[in-house]
Amino acid sequence: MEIQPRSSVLLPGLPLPLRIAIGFGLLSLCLWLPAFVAIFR
Amino acid sequence: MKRSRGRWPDAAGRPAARFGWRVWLLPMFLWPLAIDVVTEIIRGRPVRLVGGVLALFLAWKAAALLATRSAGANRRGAALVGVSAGLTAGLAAGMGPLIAVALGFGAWAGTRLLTEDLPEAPPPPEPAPIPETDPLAPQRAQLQRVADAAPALPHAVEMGGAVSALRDVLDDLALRPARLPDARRHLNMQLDGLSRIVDRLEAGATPPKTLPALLGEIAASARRLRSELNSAESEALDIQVKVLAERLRQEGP
Repeated sequence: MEIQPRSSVLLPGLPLPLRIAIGFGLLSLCLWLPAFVAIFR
Repeated sequence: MKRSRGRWPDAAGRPAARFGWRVWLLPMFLWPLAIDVVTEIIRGRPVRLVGGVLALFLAWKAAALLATRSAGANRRGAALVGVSAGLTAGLAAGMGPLIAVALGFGAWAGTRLLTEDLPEAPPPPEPAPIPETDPLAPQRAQLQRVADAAPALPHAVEMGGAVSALRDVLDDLALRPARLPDARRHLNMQLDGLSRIVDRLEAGATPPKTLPALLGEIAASARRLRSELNSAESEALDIQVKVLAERLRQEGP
């Protein structure tokens, strides 16, 4: 029995590179934005 | 990405840690917050400092959780990253609850998109049920050995009678295991004695004249033991009936 990577539930049918890019973008926005605001506020 | 896939749990059944770049990318997103923690220490703003430290801690925990690749780790890890982002926005940056929730949701969705396809180990299998052990197995084995050897030995008929009586006792005890502690010593003594007699006879010993009487005594003793077990059960039932009748008499209409 082999552990298989699962398909996306959030955005089914989206290619993996695109999914990673969107995830990366969302994380950048949602983590870096408040962190930089916290530094400069 | 290849490193993040397909490693099996170790011998102890724990999933191997998965240090894929997509997992360890998560706390790396928080490096500005690490700078902010230092800034808040210098500025002396405790609420923002607590928010920053908590967010850093949760993001690190999320990455560690994802690295375990245990069942459900992807989902829980993403939720932790979302909480971490919400704390960063709400406490450390003071951006207000609505924006904090929105950013937390965005971080959760981003983490899910990054990591939801990473393989998780299947949940650990149910432990195998412990097979029921027969508490009388050694005695049965001992008796079977005697029964197998008896036909070829002198006084086979008397020995067969003793074996049969002891087997009846074992069958009774199997039905009433609660009586086993009372009967075990007596039963073991008889079985050990019978086994030793069979050993000697198999080794070529000449049976003494008293052997048939002794075998008859073993059979009689086993029957007495069985009868005692039965009467003990009957006494217990008698007491139960009396107690129940008494309670019915006291509590009845």
